[in-house]
Amino acid sequence: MKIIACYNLKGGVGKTATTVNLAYEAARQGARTLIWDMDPQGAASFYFRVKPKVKGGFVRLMRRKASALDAIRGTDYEGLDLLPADFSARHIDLIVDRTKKPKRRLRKMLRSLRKEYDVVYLDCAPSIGVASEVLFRIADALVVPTIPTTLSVNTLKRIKKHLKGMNGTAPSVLPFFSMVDRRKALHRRICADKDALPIDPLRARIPYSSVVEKMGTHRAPVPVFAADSKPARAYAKLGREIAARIG
Amino acid sequence: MIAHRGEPAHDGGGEADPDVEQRYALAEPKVGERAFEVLHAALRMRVTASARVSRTYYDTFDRRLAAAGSLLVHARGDGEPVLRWESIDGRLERRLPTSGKPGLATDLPAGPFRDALEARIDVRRVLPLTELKGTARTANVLDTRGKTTVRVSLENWRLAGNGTQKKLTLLRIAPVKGYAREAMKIAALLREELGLTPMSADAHQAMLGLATPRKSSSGPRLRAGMRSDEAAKRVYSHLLDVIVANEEGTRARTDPEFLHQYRVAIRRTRAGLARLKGIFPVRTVERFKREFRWLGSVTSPMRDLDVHLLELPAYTEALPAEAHQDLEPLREHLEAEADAEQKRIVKALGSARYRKLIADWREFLERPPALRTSLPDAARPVEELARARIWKLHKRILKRGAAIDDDTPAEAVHDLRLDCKKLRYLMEFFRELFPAEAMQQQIKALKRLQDVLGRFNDFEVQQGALQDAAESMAEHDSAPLPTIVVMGRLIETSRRRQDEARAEICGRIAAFGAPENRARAKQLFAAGPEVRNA
Ligand SMILES: Nc1ncnc2c1ncn2[C@@H]1O[C@H](COP(=O)(O)OP(=O)(O)O)[C@@H](O)[C@H]1O
Ligand SMILES: [Mg+2]
Repeated sequence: MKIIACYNLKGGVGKTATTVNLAYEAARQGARTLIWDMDPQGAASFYFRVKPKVKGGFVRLMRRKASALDAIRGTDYEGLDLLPADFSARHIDLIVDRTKKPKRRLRKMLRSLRKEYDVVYLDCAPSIGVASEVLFRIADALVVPTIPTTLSVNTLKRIKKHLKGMNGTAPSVLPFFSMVDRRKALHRRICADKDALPIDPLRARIPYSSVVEKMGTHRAPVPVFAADSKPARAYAKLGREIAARIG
Repeated sequence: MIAHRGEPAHDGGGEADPDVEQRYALAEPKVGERAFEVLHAALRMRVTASARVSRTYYDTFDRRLAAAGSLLVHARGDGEPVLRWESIDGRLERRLPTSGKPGLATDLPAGPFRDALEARIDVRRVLPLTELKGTARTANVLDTRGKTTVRVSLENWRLAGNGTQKKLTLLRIAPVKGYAREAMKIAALLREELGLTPMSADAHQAMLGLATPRKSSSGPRLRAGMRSDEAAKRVYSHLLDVIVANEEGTRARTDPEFLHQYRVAIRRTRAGLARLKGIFPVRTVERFKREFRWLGSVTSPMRDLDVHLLELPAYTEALPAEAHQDLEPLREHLEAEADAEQKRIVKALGSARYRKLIADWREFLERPPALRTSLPDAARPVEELARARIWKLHKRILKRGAAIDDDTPAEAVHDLRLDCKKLRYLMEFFRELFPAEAMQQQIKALKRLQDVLGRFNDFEVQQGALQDAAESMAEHDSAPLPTIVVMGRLIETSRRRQDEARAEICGRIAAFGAPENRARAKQLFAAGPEVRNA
């Protein structure tokens, strides 16, 4: 079972859109796939029309009282399941702090999923607290949506620096350009510059597109309502690249 | 022809596992439409138009997937073609979009599906077992958010198999993970409004021709020194397991072997009840004897028809090519009769009388024997009882056999045949108590005699059946003259072969009574003086 965390310190960069579309495509191609909605906002849960509330909440989930498997819901798409966001995930850092050996607990929880899934996508909340610390240690890859702006470049530098201290156990960091708007000169320039990012980005780029925005009205992954669109193809390409990188 | 369509009450499904698909075998498409209406009125549903679809079920020649509790089905026609890997009770384990027919695991694209399949079947090839073609209509049951909670599909299938076609109407109710409660509500609705109950996984397997008939596998584990009543109960329980294991297949009639195994277990049970007196109360024995006799008689005509249907290719072969088509009306006639018989069987197996028989018999067998008993043989060591009964029958067969020559009337031959059958059952009943090697040889010797006696009888039955069929077809004007003529020829052939069998009988009787067989039988079954005095 591979664990792929879609991560960025910043919000609004396309993490959720990426998670939803990559996971959908993985499932469509036959991988047993789980999305774990870790953002208390519950955007991923929203896209799949799943009630964000987990019975007993995240606290209970972490404290072994209920298995994660009980909280999982199937989506409308066969092979794609979702562990819903939860209100108490709002306090995720606090909980992780208070649970003894949070890493071990989380690992154990993921182990219970291993027989059921080939790949787990984590849709992370924007933060760099204790919780993300733990995530960095359990994920096989951090997929980092990066909008081609100076600010994003700096953010990526911070992530790189943060992971440096982890010696050996760090996941592979896979940035890619997200919400690329060809009309913007800055976007064009940064995308063209081979050395713009401190870590080489993946080759697939997700264009800025109204089709992606429409996910909110359709409440469905892009390929469901726009299979032949540019973003749908771009997400598929991104998925293949990630798969190749994590083996 | 298909058994349990529309008789939901005796489907043995009972309370379903809420997480798995519920399957309903319906009497006809109309019932499915009704079910759809009922659900539509009560629930928010998105219904799709009916589509032409097909499903092919695959497994290896040695049924590796079935043994692991899995079904592999290639689904086409609704959406992109997918290979679905399901558990036998209807849970989707994995799926893989692919339009090609599956064969070797390594033919599939690299990935988790291929790895998992390879781990199961290794280098074996999966072969198509059953192909369904037909139409399917699906509906998604939605919650207030518009999310799918349950998938409903109504399928009308044609199932092709050995020259015939069956029609099946199946309703499937599959909960999305985490929405078992919604599916249970639907099940309740279907039960209350239409009296429908889901079928068991076994029934589903059998209906699709995916189940395999079950013979008695490991023995009942008898030990010398065991009380006779306890030992007999073990054997009966073992036979009852076989009966129950072949029940669904018998109802679905996907393979005549189910009924055959079912009947063999019943006959052995009856033989035990008839031959082993003095270990259970007479009234109990009489009651079960009567009930199992009933069950035997209900299923017997069907078995005869099965035998004929299985013999048809051989009949055909015996005729010149130009006469082959003349046999077609006979085949149709037999199939029609088989359909009618099958209905009787389904009705019998669904009846309260049958359920009570099985339940009461089980209850009786599971009750531990009373410690103190006034029955003469109940507490007797089983090997002693077994030896005595087998030896007595063995001697009787030798005596009856000795009285038969080439001119002895058929009745005496039949009596001998029946005695041989009884002996065979008894020996198999208690087989575990005796040295395996010697017992096997003894059974083999008996079997050689039984073979010729059986053939002698089978040809006679065959002539009678052909005669009956010809008369019945003539009566209904359903047979053209050439067919009747051809059947006359078959009867002739049958009679000739019966004569040939008759000519072999004396030789086989002599062989059975050969000194080495006698000596072995005596060694195995004749009681020593110490037992006799006990
Ligand atoms: N490629 C894109 N093109 C246009 N809009 C996008 C694109 N990706 C995301 N969005 C929109 O931007 C907003 C933020 O995206 P989201 O995936 O929720 O980001 P995050 O999870 O990082 O906060 C959403 O309204 C989404 O519809
Ligand atoms: Mg988000």
